[in-house]
Amino acid sequence: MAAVPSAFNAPLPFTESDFPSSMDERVARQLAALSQATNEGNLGYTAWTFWPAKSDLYIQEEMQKVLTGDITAAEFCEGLDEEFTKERKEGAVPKIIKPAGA
Amino acid sequence: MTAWLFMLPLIVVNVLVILGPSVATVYFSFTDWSGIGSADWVGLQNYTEIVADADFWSALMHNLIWTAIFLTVPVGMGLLGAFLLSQITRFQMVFRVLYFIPYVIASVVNAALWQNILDPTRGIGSVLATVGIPYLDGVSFFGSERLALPAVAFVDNWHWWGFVVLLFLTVLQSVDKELYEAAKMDGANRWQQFINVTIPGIRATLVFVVLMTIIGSLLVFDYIYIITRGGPAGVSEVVGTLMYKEAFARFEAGYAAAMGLGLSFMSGLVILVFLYLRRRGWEI
Repeated sequence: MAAVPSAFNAPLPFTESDFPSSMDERVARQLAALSQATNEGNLGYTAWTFWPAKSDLYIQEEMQKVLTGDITAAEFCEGLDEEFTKERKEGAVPKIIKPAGA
Repeated sequence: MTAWLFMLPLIVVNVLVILGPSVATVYFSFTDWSGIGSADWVGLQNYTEIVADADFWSALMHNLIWTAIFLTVPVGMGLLGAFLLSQITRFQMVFRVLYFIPYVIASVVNAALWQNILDPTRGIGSVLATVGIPYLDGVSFFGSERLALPAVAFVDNWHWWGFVVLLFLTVLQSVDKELYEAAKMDGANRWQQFINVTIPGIRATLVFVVLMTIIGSLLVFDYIYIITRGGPAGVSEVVGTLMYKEAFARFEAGYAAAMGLGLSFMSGLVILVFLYLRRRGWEI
């Protein structure tokens, strides 16, 4: 395991050389690529970060049941579909922000 | 008039933080309020949905298990601890302080301590494994479906039982010593003294602790929310944590208000039973 935690993605400009040698080089590469992309203005939001409240909680809670084997992946997806469809009808799905330049 | 003036600040505070929110909760439980903005009247819909909500009944069952644990383990440990402490004179104060310390530590701190102690990879299990006792190594107490609820109850009990010891110890010291002498002369052993002298002597406090335990177990929230958040897969979910999620994660504040009233109703029933028994002449 790398000595430096990889949960670090502050929007600061840096390159792979800024990381200590003890860091996993794959993580360093990934963070440097993210930094480069951000600095070039290539940032945005993906649709799956914009779940409405009930669907979002459903994913957090019910995914544990998939992992423990209490429900199947198919049942999980059916439940999510049901929850999301209901919220979409209610107009509860947040507007997806367009990334810069899109 | 002067008395009312003195009481006025307290009454104002109570109206603002207890009566007002209580009345609002009753009203919102009949609405579809999301927690923000306007609320539409939906009548009994929230209550009928709760009756059909499997998550609610599962959470309530966990509350009942929690109640059963807390009516037996800390009360039993408290009685035993107080009885044993009452038998010693040297270092009694040291033990009293040691038992009471967990009670005055914030729940967040207690929880963090035990999360570290019971951590599957760097907790007590792995330490024991290094000295040749491998049985707890890798056991995820808070991540196991089978162990999560009792493990959190263990942590809560660790902080609670010292307080129970002191409550019982205080009342034990008021039990007439002559009764013990008389029991000894009648040939009663320690256990018989405990059952026939100690228990009747502390009955009022015992019932008070039972009452507080039942109400506290119905309203339990902090340790479960801090440690497991009701997981994994809902095995440690109680009505308190479910209600919180309904109100602040699903934004179903009206539904959560109805759940809260359901809990208050159950707590009220317990108090009514207590008052009824007192009226019937029970010395409690």
